[in-house]
Amino acid sequence: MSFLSIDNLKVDYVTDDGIVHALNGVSLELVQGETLGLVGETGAGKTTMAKCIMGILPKRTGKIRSGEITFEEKNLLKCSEKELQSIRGAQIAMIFQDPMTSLNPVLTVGEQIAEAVENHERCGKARAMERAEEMLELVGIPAERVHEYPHQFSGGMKQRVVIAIALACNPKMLIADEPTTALDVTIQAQVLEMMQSLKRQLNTSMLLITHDLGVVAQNCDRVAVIYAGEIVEYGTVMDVFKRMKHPYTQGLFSSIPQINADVKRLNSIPGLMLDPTLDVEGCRFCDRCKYATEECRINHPELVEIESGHSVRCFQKK
Amino acid sequence: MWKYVLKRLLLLIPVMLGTILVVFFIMDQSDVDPAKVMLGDAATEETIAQLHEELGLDDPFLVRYARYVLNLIKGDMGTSYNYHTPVANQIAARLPNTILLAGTAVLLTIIVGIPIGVLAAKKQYSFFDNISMVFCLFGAASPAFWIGLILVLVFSLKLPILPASGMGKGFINCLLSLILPAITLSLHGTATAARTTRSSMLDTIRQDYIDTARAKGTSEKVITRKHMLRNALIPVITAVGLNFGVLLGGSVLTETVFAWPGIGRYVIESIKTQDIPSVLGCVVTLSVMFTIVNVLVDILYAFVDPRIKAQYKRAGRK
Amino acid sequence: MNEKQTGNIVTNGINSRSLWAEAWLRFKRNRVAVAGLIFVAFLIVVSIATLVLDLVTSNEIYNAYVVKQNLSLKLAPPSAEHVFGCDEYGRDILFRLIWGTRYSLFIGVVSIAIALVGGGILGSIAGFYGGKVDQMIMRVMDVFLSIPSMVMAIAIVSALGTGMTNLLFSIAVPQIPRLARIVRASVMSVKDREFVEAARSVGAGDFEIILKYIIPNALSPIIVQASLSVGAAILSIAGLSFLGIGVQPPAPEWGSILNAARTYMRDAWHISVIPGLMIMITVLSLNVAGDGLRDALDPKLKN
Repeated sequence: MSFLSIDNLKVDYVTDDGIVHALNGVSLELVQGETLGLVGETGAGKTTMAKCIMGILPKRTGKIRSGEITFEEKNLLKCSEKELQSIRGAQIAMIFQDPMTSLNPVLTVGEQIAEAVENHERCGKARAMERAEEMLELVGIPAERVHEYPHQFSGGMKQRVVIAIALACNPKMLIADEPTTALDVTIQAQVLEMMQSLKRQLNTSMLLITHDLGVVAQNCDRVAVIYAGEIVEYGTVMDVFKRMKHPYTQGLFSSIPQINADVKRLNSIPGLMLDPTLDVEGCRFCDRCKYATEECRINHPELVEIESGHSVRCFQKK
Repeated sequence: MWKYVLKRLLLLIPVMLGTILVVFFIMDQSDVDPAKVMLGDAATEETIAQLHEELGLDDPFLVRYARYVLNLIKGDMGTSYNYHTPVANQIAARLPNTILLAGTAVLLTIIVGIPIGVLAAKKQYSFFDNISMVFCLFGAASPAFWIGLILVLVFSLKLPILPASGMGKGFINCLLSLILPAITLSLHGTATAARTTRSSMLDTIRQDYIDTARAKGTSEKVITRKHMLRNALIPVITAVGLNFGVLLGGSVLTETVFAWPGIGRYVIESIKTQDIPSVLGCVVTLSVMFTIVNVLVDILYAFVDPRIKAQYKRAGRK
Repeated sequence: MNEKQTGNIVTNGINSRSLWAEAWLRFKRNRVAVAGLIFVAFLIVVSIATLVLDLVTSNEIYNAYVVKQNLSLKLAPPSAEHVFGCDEYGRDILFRLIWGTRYSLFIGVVSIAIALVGGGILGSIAGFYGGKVDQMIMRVMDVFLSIPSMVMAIAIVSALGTGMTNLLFSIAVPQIPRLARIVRASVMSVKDREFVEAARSVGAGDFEIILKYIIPNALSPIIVQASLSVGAAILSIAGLSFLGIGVQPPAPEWGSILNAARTYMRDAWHISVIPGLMIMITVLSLNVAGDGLRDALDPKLKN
């Protein structure tokens, strides 16, 4: 049973340089208690999707053209700002990409965690501060640092604070937008491990956005591969990792350096991602695809279920 | 923290000595002979030479400077050639009026300029934004004394509702007579403050921690007040502080236009009567005022920005 | 500026033309800035034209229309014959405004040029050598900065008198610390770049390096600040003249026209309104052109 489902979401950014099609009809489901990995390269629309779910797209430029985001039988896109405010942080929380910039430099970390609590729970300031201290301890930071400012913490510590903010109200769902990209490799593992154990403790569902397939393998139940604003492959980790079908997914896997293979050059997917300002008729990947045929250039492939729970958007791999 | 404040205050001493040195040096270039002016028409070669001897006018520059500073500490700024009374008394009588006018103008700058900047940034490219930025361009380009003249023309001559000049007796009359000069004097600063606030707000709005705050479910009002303003105002404090210098310079013009009995008007009057000790006293007073305000701004800055506060704490521990 | 352009500078000296060409393209798209620039250019043409006219006619026009008193037209309101009316001595305000252009522009430009030389020398020495020299120069600049510029100008004029040289000096000196700071920052930002290292490694002296390699590359923020300072200088000179300690009558400086206007405000509003408008539009044009220049040279700074 799904408790978050996204249906045919289309989002454009209207900028001075033209209209950027960021999401082109994304449909996706998240099963309660599971972790869904969203994989794709920079500019594929991962963060846009996260911001859409949170309802924090930039108001002036971000335009939702169509679609529905249903969370516990409620269409988030139809909710009023007030309703959204009561959902954000309490029901759905988000962890941002860069811990260096996602904390407010002039507020103490305690104030920033307590703010999340105060927003949703009718409790006094003192109680909220206590809760902030508990959360710090939970993410492995001594509670006495609650009165310190972000610049007094290291990058990994800051990300723990960001996680503490996100989990402060026991949200049912957590969106983690590349939570470890900005961190050192050693810290990455710690942070991910901590997120996993917290997720289990609090029984949170998670949407984990990343471009690191290793992270997906270790943390996710299901994977969606996104390319140029479209889901191109979706399935369980097993499906996608063992029986990947889409040429783009295959490309992603072959570009991971293998430690036991003797290669001079890393494999990469030729070409660049489609210019997101263009409208295209055919498959969005066909220019970079070695299997592309005439059909791929003329018609747009649909996401088709090829085996139970495993779908691919490709004419060649039915 | 208090150590920092103390350090800043101690630093004030060399800066003030330097400022007075520069001003004293400039005024020393005057070819007016104080002895001649003091003795008037009755002067003979001998009496002039005698007075030079008495006053130490032929001493080396640095000796005279040291004597001036020592006297200044005792509250002695010399004797006005024009009034034949101590310059310090003349200045003491006028200083409160200048402080009243300048203080009101700074207050206007803050309570008008900052909200304009905030609103303009929140509604970037709106009608209000455009109008207020045009106002800022004109405000920064208009000679303050000319705006004063226009205000007098409109509000004192055409619609006689406010006094055109002088300082009213009694609270109400004083307040009424303060309106036009304070507006005149504040205009330039208001324009600068609004512009700085706007661009600093626009910079803050784009920051990641604003998204973090939204993702916690914080309301837009609280985000503006707590997250945006506290960060955006840091550069505005500097701008308003620096603008205080322009404002003090402008007070000379404004006080002349409105015949406001302050130091600015006194300095012009003294220049016309070649009353060098008075000019020197006024310039020293205005410069010292600006220096003190600069230090206060520095201290305020450290209180607002925890990064500076902590920087000092860390340095202090070493 | 990207690496390619800095590379060009090493190989063939001053081929940063592409940067300026690009900036010009961006500037042209900014209509307000272009309008400002056109107006400033117009004022420059007007002041040169009046200078030439005075030379050719040996001040005949100047004497007959700009300074000659005609008491029958005292405070005459604007009319078909005298578009902006006449002043307290019956002189045509339009003529006085036209002939006054040169004072504002000349004093504004020349004083900032003086300040630029002063600030440029101090700033580049401070930025280039750093350390104690830098500390000393900047502390002195701090002291100068703590005297409000208008107040310092007033002090200088009152001590030295109101001759043209003294006026220029009084406007220029308070601007020196600001320009020195900017020059210093720009010099510091380029002095460790590869092309300076390259020049040093082929044996160029300090003076040569500063003049040939650092200044040209640190130029754009300096030019922007200088162009914005001209507006401030024009406001200062108008202020001093308004106080009666700037350009002395009967010279038709805009600020000094306003000085006289105060007395006659009740009877003749036009004398106080029009010259002020002139000052405002001039400074406004300079400011928008300067802002446009800044945005064109460094598009990242634009909000």
